[in-house]
Amino acid sequence: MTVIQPPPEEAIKPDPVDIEAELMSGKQDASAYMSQWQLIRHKFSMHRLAVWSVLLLILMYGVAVFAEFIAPQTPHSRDLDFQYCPPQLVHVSFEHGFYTYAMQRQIDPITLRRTFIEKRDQIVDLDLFAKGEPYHLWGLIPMQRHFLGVDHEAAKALDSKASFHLLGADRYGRDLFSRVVYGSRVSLSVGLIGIAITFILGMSIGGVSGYVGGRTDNFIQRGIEVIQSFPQLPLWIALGAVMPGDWSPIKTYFAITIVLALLNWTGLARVVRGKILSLREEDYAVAARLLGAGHGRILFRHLLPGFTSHVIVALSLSVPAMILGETSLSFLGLGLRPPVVSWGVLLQDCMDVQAVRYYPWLLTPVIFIIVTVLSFNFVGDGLRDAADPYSATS
Amino acid sequence: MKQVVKQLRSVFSFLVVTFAMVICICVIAWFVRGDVKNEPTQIDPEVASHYREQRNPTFDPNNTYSLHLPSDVTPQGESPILKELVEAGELPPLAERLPKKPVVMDTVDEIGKYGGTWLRLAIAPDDVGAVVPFRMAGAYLVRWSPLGYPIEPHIAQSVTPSNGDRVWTIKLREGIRWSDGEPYTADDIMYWWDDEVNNTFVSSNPPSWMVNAGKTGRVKQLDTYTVRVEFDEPYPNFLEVLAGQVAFTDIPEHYLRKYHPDPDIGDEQVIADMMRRYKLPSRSSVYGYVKVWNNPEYPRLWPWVFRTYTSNAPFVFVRNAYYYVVDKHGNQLPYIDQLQFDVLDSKMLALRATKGGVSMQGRHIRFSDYTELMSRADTEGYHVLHWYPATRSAFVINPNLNRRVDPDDPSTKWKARLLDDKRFRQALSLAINRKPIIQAEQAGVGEPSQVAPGPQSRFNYPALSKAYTEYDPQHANELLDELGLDKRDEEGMRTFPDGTRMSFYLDFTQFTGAGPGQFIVDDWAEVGVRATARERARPLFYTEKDSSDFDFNVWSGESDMMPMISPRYFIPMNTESFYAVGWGRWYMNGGYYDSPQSKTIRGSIPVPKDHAMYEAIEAYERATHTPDPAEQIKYMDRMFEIAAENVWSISIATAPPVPFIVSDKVKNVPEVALYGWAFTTPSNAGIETYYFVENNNSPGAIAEIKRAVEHVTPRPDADAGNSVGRLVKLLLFGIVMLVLVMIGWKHPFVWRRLAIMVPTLLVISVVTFTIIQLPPGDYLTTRIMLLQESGDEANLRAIEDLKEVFHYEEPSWKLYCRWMGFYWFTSFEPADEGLLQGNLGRSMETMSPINQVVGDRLLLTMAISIGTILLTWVIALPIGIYSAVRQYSISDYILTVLGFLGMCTPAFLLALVLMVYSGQQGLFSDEFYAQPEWDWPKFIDLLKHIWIPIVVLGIGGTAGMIRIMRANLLDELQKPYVTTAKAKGVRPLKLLIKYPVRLALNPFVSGIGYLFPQIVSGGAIVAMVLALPTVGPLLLSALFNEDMYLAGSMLMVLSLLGVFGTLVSDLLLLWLDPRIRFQGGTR
Repeated sequence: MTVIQPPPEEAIKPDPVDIEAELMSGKQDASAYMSQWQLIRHKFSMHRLAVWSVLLLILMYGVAVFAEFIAPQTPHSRDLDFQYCPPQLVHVSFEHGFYTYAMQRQIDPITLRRTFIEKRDQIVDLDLFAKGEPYHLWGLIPMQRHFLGVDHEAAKALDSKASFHLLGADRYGRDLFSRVVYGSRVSLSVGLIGIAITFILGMSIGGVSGYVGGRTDNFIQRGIEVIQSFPQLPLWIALGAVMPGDWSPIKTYFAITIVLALLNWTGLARVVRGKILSLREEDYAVAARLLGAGHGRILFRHLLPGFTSHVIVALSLSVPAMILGETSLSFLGLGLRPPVVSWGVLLQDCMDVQAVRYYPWLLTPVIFIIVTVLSFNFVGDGLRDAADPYSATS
Repeated sequence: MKQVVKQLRSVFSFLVVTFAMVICICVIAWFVRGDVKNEPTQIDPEVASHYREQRNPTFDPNNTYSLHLPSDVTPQGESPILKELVEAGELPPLAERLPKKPVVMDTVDEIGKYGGTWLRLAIAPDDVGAVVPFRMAGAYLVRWSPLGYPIEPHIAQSVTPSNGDRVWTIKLREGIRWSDGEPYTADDIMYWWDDEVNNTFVSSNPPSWMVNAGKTGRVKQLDTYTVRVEFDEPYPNFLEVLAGQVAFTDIPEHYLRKYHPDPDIGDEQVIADMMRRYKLPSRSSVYGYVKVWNNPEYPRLWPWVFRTYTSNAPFVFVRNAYYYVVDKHGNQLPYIDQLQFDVLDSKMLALRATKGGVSMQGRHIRFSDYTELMSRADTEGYHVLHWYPATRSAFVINPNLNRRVDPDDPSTKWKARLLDDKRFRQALSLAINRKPIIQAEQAGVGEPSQVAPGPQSRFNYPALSKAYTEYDPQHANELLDELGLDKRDEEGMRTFPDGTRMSFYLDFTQFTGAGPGQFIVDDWAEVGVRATARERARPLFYTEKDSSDFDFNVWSGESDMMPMISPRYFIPMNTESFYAVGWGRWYMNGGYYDSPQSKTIRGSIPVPKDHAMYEAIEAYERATHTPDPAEQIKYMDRMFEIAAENVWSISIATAPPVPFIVSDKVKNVPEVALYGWAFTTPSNAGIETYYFVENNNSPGAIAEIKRAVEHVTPRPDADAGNSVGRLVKLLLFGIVMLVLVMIGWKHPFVWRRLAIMVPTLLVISVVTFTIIQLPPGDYLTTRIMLLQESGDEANLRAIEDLKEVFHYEEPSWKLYCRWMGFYWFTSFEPADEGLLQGNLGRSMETMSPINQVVGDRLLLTMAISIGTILLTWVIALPIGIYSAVRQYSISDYILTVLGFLGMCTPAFLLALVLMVYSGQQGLFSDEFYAQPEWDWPKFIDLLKHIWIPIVVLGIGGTAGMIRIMRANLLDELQKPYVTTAKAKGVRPLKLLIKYPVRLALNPFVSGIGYLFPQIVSGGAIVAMVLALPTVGPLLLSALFNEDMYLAGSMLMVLSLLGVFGTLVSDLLLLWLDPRIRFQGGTR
């Protein structure tokens, strides 16, 4: 479901771009010619933060889709010479193009802490589309090129072992950035799959509740109230604990999304129900009924367009809860477990005093969580402002 | 054209975003990498080698020392606390309390000073019970020394073998008294032997260590202070056994006799009284209930005794006025006044330990935290000792030699055959590249090794430690091919000889952690053996272990340095020998001596006589029945030789040293000591002689100790001290009263709310109950299974009791009715009370009433939650109003972003980071934790700590509140009445506050109901991280342990609070919003 959808009335209207231009130039009455979707789009585009957030989300999901290509390494390849290697900065010069310095480990004799020294005289060349570890894109296409990686040919001339860890390495010398990139697949898709379930449950239950009304409505609403008055987290944990320990990672993954979605649909159902309740008494809905339209036609043809935008808002606002939910569950050890890589699993590693104090780059997955959740919130916020295009613009 | 420009603009924006993100990542990378040097740090080689040596603790086993002194010393000094009590006439004088010839112990540094509180940390209340009676008491007849041998007479004056180690004569010290002042004599030992071991009401089988060569020994009393233990065959290890058995020294006849379940021995009246007071189902359950570690009335011989009952941490043990040990100047030990345990999550233990949370501790201090431990030592005022690990391996892979064959799964047949083939095990051991694992997991400390006693042991056998530990994939491949595993599948992995897919599981628990699991899986894949490492919940792990239904599992070694006492990795000594649980069950039930029991017990598998293991057992049996030390070594060597050849288990490396945190204020702690369960560490290292250079007890704490020494505070009756029960009743009563008030009001809005209240609560209770019942198995089932395994009749009775207490066999709906207390309405019996009567049930884990467990935690939780809600409002309201009034201004954007940031940050992480950098954990600093009186500094200290949870919990909610307030106010501000008011010239601020804000508050108020339970539950992880004694962590651990009534009842209480909150918020709304009052509302 996307926001950009050609409005059916377009044919009989002037060019939409012109309308927008007119709008911009202050001729307010131009909005009278715009379809609902155009209005929403226009108003949404006024919300700068939301627009940027959408682009950011596209970027994040793009990275998740091309994870194998973007990540310099596979998530499980380890090199013990780079245990707890700090982030290596990317430098640019005309002479070398992209490059970084080689890192050499030293171990503190007293505390056994691994520290690294940056060897300024050992330049590790980085290549765009460098040849690296072989992989199968989407598990199908065999490839060897990575977006940015160590130029292994040039690195052979160095005394030190060449490495490139953009966000540092973890206790096994695995590249954290690669793990974040791979982890985004699981963590970002939890939200989408969860949304799908939320959508189905929320729409159908909320729709029935609002359209049928009466006792059914009452019954469903009480049910929703019961679900909402539960403390969520214990419920997650209890449901997480129900999952048999011998399930495969994939099975657990789906089970978790379902658990998260099962508690998440109530908000949407409420929105849908409320909207249907008010819309079905509108003149045009009554007219359709009197003209003999069937339930399906009234519901889908006449009522649904009236609240699609609200559904989108409700959905976009429920994604963050899912992503954070996955993180909390995995953090507690009830969700996904290694060797599966997800942002929640990565956070398990920083649940350690030493990580926070000595190896703070292990905390960087949080930044990605925050950015994603923040973006979803802004998008939801922008959509909410835009959802009701006829409200007064200030 | 314009379209194209627009498209281009989007693409450009996207590129800008991408670029910004890349820059952002780079900046973050630069920020978190800290200060990376360009030049190597110069390391003083001497310092380096000093610390390297320290990490490799060693000692000369032939030249050890003892803390026990043989000299006669008259007791003459005592703690000022006790002196005051003697002067007040509350205690008899020192000479009357101590034996004429007390135990005399030397001190490592110097004679100590009295006073102080020894702080320790535990990971669960049960953990305290698992450590204090044994390792923190050291009250044995004979006791190990810091470096193992010699074993010195402690409570016993002497233990002498005769008749070729067949007869052991135990002479007790005259005048030793229990902590209640009653004398300890041979009668206590005889009570244990005659009325416990040989009384079918208490036990049906003698303890395994009283059985020698298949025959049970005999205990005979010679006089008041002398006992003789006789065996038919030589039992040279008996002294080592006595050094680890509390049976002789922890059974006070004068106290226990009256509770004995045998009607001929026990006192009917007392038992009936106990059953009524504590709601116990049977006579034997009374006996079990009396014997738990946290019964304050139970007399002990420990240096510190539990005298004041509490159901939650801190657990405090105060000095035993009758302790029978003195230093060489005759001062009564221990020097330290009290021992105090706090309980917190194991993940958070290291942080607390380095922040002064422990005075001296090695338990739960992990080597993986070494960097932190060593780095903080100087600034936090402690030092780290490196004690010698008697447990010789941190990570042992157990191939399941008794693999159960599942007829429905043909692969298990192949697995069983392979796992029992030594070539397979040899190959897998050879395939592991151990060096990198040591580098990654143990920071390079340790050597590749199988489980072996080690060079400091009398039974050192170097060939065992090095057996098949070299990395030799080629040899491994040859061995595997030889086994007939030469076919490969399309993934390049070996298949079973019949061509079917071969795949093994490597199961581990949180106890060892995943550790090298992935390394091993990868190494095995190199030789074509497919394996998957998977984490198992502890109960499931045990279930599979006990039914031999696993391929490989992972555990640590256990006191392997003493293979005579702990041979579990060399022969299947019991079911803790994970590689052969069936054999272990057979052996521990006397299978080697053909006992009838070993044939009838479920899951017992006899070791085939032609199996190498049989010979190993034979060698061990010979060794344990030979008085001649040289011959013992000969037989043990044979056992090791077999183990080396057969690779019963696959270990990675020798264990790193055990880091011991010792506060700089504590003296007399030996530099190196043996650490292991078999040596009852740290009691072998002279715990009673440790002392504080400065007394860290406040006057209030000292008064409290004095009170505890003087009076016992027993466990409250099951009904007493029931503040939670009262609260639940109050809530229910409150709801009923509100219902009545509202009915009187006859308001449609109210009517609707009320109509759903009762069914909602009912549905919630049903759902809660269903969910907590869902997980397969629960704490009780696991416990019953463990009890069944022993086959002991007394345990079978205990099972019956458990089943009765928890109505184990009843159908779920009946259990539900009981839990809710529906039966009470038909019987009005107190026994049938349930949730509706304010009785939350009983915890399966601790058996104590949940009302007492939850107790004061609930109050604290409510205090923190209410504090959080208030803080949220105080911050969110003004910001929300400001944001709305200045919509789309820069400050609005900044506040919005900040608010969202708070909402997006995972709270537990924020808590962790704040905690690490502020160094505050829990609610009090340790010096105030032990202090009972409230004064100004303690209050300030509380404030210093409590801001973290409130801020962390508040931040998430604040953002949401700001958004709601802003949105509502924006709606209101656009309404005509505002314009009218403005036009009429009402001052803006007055206008704002008087009308729109008031209306915008509406959804705020209606949110109270949901807010409270969400804060409590959302705060659970935060509380776990911060080690707060609130309901949250308790609920989490209950859910993890599947302690279903505890979890369920707490969920119900939270929901109840939520529902009550909703009601209150409805009333508030009525008062606040005239529209609802007059129209009936449309919420």
